Amino acid sequence: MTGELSEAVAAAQAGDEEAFRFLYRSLQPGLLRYLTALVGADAEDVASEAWLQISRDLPGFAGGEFRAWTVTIARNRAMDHLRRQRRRPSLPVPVQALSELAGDADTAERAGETIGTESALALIATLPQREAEAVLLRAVIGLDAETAGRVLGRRAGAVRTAAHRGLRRLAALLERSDVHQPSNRTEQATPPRPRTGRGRAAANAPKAEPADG
Amino acid sequence: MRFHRSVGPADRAESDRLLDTARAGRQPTADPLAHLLVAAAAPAEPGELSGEEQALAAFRAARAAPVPAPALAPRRPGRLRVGAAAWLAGLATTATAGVAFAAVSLDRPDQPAPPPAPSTSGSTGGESAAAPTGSQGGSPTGTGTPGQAPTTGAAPTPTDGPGQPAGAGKLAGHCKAYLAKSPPQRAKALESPGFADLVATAGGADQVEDFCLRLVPERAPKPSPDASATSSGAPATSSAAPAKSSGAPAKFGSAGASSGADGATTSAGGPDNSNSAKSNSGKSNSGKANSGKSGSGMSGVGNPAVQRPGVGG
Repeated sequence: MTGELSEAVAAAQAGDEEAFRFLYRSLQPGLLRYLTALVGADAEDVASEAWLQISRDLPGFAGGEFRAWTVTIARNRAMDHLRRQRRRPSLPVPVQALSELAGDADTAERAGETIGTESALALIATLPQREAEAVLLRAVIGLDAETAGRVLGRRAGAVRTAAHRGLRRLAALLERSDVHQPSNRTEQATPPRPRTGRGRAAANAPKAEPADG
Repeated sequence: MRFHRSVGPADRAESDRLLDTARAGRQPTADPLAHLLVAAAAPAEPGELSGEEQALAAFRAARAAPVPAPALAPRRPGRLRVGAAAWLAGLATTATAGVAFAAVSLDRPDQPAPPPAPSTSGSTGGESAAAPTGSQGGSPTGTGTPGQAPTTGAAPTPTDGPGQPAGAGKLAGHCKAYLAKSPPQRAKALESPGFADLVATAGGADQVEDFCLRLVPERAPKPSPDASATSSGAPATSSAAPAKSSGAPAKFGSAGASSGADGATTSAGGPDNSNSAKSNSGKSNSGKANSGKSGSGMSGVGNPAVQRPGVGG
C-alpha cells in the first residue's frame, strides 16, 4: 500500500493525472472522515480546499509519509476554517447514531454484519477533540503513533494515551447503549456535545466511568 | 466488577492493537468497539468521492500554471524594475537639473553685456514680451541679442529636445569621444561603425573635426566663435541631457516645458536688441542649429533663414 502510494505520488508529481486520481481515491475518504470530526458538515468544503492546496504544493512534496503530509494540510485548513467560524461547530447529533448503532450491534450479533461507517464516525466525533483526532489518525488515516504525533504536534506517547482513552470512552458508550438500550433511546433525546455527553454518561451510567481512570 | 473489565481495551498496547487491526480492515471478533473502528475505517463510499473531478481540475490547473514559486518570482523582479526605473528617473532628473543649472551658470559669465536686455524687456512691457514670440515669431526669438542668445540657447534646447534629443546628444557624445582621441587614433576611430553616424552627419570623414569643433566647442581653439562657443556649449550639454533622461520622458518633458517657457520670456525680452550683433547671434545660433538639426544645420551655419525652422519650432 505504502509502496503503491509513493509510486503514485512520484507519478503525480511528474504530471500523471491518473496517478493523482488514485491518490485522491485512496486518501479522500480518510481525510473527509477526519475532517468531519473536526468541522462537521463543512468537511466537504474544507476537503476541497485541502485538495486544492495538495495539488498546488504537490511538486514541493519532498518525500516522507504522504498521508501525514496530506492530513497535515487538511488539518491546517480545518483549523483555519474553525478560526473563521470562531467556534467549534455543533457536531452531528449522536442520538440517531447511537440507536442505529444499537440496532446494528443487534444485527451484527445475529448476522455478523458491521455497524455503519457514518454511525461509527458520529460516535467518534463525540469524543473530546484530542482523543477523537488520535483515534481517527490511527484507525482511519492509518498513521502510526509517531507520525500522528508529528501531525498533531505532540509526542507519540501522548497520542497513544489519547487514543487509548478515546477507545475506552467509546467502549463505555457502546456498552451503555447496548445494556440500557430500551431506556436510553428516550433519554438521549437531547444529545449533547462531547464534554456534556461525557457528563451525562457519568450521570447515567456511573459504573462505566471508573473504567476511564 | 466483571462488567467494568469488559469495557474497552485494558491498556495502551491493546488499544494500539485494536487501532492497527481496524486499519487493516480485518473482521475481528464480536467486540463492538472493534466493529466500530472497522466501520470507521471502511472502504470509500461513492458519496465520499464526489469531489474527485474538482480535485482533478485543481491538479490540472496547478500543472498548467505552476503557482507558488514562479508566480512570486516574476512579480518581484517587476517591482524591482519599477523601483529601478523610478530610481533612474530620479537620477536623470537630478542630472538634468544639474546640467541645466550648469548650463545657466555657464552662460551667466557671458552675460555681463545683456543686463540692458532685461531692462529693455521691462520697458517693452508684458504685451510686447508676449508678442514677439508669436508674431515676429521664429526669427526674432532665434536671432536674439548676442547676450541673449546664450540664454536662449540654454533654454529652448530642451524644447527642441523632444524632437531630436537622442541624435544630437549622441552626436555630441561621439564628438567628445572623437575629440578626446589623439590625431592618429581619430582616423582609425572614424572607420569604426560606431562613428558612422557622425561621419555621415558631418558630411565626410574629413569634415568631422570641424563639425565636432562646432558642435562641442569647448575644445575649439578658435577665438572668433567665442561668444557662440559658450552659448552653443549649453545646447550641446543640455541636448546631451535628453539622451540621458530618455528613461524618464515624462519628467524631462515637464522640465523641458518649464525651462522652455523660461527661455521664451527671456528671449521675448530680447528682440529690440536683436540687431545689435546679428552676425554674432547667427553664429551663436548655428551651434544650436547644429545640435538640434544636425545635418542640415551644417550647411546653414550663419544663415538665419535655415535656423528659423529649427529654432522657431
